[in-house]
Amino acid sequence: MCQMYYKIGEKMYKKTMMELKKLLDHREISSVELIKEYLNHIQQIDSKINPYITLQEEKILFQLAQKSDQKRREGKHGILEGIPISIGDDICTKGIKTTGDSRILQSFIPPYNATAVERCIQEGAIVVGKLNIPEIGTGSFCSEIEETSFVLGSDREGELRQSAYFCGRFALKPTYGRVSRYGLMSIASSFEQIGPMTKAIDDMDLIMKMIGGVDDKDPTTFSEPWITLQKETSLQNIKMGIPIFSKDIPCDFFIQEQIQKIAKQWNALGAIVNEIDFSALAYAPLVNQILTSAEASSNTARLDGIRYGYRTPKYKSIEELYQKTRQEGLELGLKEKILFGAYVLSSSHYEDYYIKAQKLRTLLVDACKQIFQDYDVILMPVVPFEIGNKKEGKSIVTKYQKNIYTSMANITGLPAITIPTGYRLEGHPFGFQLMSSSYQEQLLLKMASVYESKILSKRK
Amino acid sequence: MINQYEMVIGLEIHAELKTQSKIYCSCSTQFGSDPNTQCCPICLGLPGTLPILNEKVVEYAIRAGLAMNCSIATKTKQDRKNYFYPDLPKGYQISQYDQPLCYEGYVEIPLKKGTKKIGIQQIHIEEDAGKLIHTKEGTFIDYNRSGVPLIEIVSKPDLSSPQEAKQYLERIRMILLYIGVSDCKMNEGSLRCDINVSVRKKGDIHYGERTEIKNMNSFSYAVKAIEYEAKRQMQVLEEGKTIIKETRRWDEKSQCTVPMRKKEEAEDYRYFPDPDLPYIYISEEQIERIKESLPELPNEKKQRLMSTYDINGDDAELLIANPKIGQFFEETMMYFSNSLMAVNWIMGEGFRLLAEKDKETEIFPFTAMQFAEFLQLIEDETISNSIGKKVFEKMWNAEESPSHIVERYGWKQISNPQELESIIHEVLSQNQKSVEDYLSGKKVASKALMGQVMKKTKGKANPRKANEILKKRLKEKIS
Repeated sequence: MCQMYYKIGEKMYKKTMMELKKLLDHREISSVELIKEYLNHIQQIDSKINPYITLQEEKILFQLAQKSDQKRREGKHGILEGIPISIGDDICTKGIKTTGDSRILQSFIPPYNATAVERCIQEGAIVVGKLNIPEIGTGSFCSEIEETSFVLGSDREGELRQSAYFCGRFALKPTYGRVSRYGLMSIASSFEQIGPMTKAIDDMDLIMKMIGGVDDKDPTTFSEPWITLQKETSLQNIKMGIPIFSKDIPCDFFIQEQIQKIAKQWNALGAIVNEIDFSALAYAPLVNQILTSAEASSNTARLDGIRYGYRTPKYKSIEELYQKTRQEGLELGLKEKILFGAYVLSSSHYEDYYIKAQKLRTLLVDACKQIFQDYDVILMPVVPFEIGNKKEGKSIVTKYQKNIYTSMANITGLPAITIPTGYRLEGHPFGFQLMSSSYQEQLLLKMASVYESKILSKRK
Repeated sequence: MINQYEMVIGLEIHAELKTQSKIYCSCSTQFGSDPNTQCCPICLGLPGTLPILNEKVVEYAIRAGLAMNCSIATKTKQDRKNYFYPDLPKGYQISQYDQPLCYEGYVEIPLKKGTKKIGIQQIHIEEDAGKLIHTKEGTFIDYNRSGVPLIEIVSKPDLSSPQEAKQYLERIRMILLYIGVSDCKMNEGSLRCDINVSVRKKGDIHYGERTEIKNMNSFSYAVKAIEYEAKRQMQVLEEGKTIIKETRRWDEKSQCTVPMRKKEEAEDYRYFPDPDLPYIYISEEQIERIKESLPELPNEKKQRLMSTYDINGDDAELLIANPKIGQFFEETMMYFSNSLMAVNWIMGEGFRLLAEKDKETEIFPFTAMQFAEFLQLIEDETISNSIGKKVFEKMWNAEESPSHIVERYGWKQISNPQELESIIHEVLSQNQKSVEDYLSGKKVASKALMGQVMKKTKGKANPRKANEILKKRLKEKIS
């Protein structure tokens, strides 16, 4: 018996990837129709909250969709055939402008795809457009609109996980080296990973299986295979730790309350939840700031106006070309990072800052290892303060602590996932974070899947 | 004044490795292609691209390290050297800072008397930059060279004269050529060096302040630059002034070193470990395997040539400096036993004619077997030494064997005593004046008579035998 998945009037852009896949597989909708609906929707979005920096040309999109439909008819389709995806603008897309959200690269069109993008395209995905890059603590990825069923974004100190938190989505920062960084514009090489942001855990599982794994273009990738999500409902013997909040590990009271509430949910689901001493967290913002700045100062040196991108129109010497190009082309936030990074790397401060921060990084890795000897996961907030400018002003959390709960995973290379609670606080979606030891993404996905089926589905 | 001082010299030699592809991508390293035809997003430093280390580079560098008696690191890293220059696409050069691949080695250089060990502080791997091309229309950049692998060989400050520095440079070049890791073509820039020079009063245990002369791409310029720079420093000190630590360059036009940048402008390269590249691990087995694959090295070969063929150090040195000639010599010795004679012909007429005929070729146009046959003709007095020179030259053009050449030109030596007797008899009777001179005590007159013998025989008379007979006949006339 033929089951109908598609109800007239249903919004396609609200569907999960698996749902779209079923609709396409059952020919209840075509890729061309899907693209048409996405484009209509994007046009209706207020330009103020439009997250797209660049949209793929309509003509090309329809060509690709037609080709996908053709392939499907011939039975030669890939896993993601005809499914629209969006990519963060710091991830290279062949033939589509990739600016890194920066003026200096305003005209840069990469002649190559990032490996993660390439793997999706190989399976038939259609890149609809490039999304702006969220800043830490703001989550401007998607605001309140519903975009493509999944997004590939970068996570350096928690941007992707915070974005998901602000949008009510799932997002994974994989173990460092799980996903190739080839094609991701490097800012903080040893911290950043490409990860998926999805509406459902099944989607995430499928995408991770596809984009992860060894890439001969990135020597930091590893060969540990992705273990497909095993749907279990039992959380017996799962040990979950929650950090004890303090002056050094700050979290606004209201958020603390929410985390306690979530801990109770987990407890009810069968996990053993305990408070843990995670004082290492206090050092995360500092280590993050020193080391990501150091790497950024060097990584962005190639943006010099010589070979590609913006070049200042008037200059008298090569020094002036560099100075003016970078002065005019780089954003203030990045400039701050570059200056600070150059400072901590300079020969007179290297020992005091860079080396000490590296030593601290090792200590933080050890501290996490220690915890994961006794615990399977750590439950943490994603953002330590309430959303909304007024409240932020009153928060006990400083500017540099906005990433305190997310940056630890980047510092240590450990995987961490944002899971939405499905309810809103002050009109904004709310969620939490789980972090595990290396290569344990399947545990994170399993837990997210339990939460999805036991808690979230009831809420819908 | 100069005698009161001694020089302390250290060299940093950059050698391009002749791997097929670049150090961090698969682009070709071929020299001389059209500008920017051997580039890809990786060696152009496009955003998002990552380096992948070419393992051949590590292997080649280890080869060099082992050939220069270095210890090999079993774990090492790569660092970024940060600076802005248009030929540097990433804004940093990937190099090695404090954990070089090879360290603490030495090479032995020949001196007029004996040899000297020159310490090698380290050998590390790094990438080359592109090249700026200045024209009337402006400056252009060719990135073909960007990412070509280099090794930097850093010596200890063990060199104490320009001549030693030259010997050292030549020894390093020879070793690199022997082990086949670099073409060492200075005109193509595949071998260049920076020179650190300081001077101090003899007996002083502290080093003087040093200057660095950058980017020398000729051995002879290097010698001149060191000579100039050391003298300049001595003069500065004699005037009671102090040496400024600075970078200089050799100006060939004015024949002196000129400052490039001063200490206060010195760059801070902000070295730090490259986070894109994992540690390099090298196993003992790998080192052992490379060690076993090394060919005979120049010094080993020199010792062997000296002991096997009983030749002197200078000759052996010339043979190892020209490996193809050395091999030719050794092949010759399979068919011929007088090593001294072979060496003399190679070093004398051989090198003279090689230089004269064709500077590009490094080897004789005939086989070692033919050469041995030629030597044998002289050895058994079929031809004389002077005829030998003619035959040798003919061997350059003809494809004939030396015996055929001798035959065709009728150059066979006249050694038959009866034949010689009659020729000498004739000469004596036709040159009464010389004979009388001889008899009156002018012994040199015999040389004139011998000349006549040679003239008559077109140089074919066996000089030893003819001389014997001539002396005998002249003596008879005295008595």
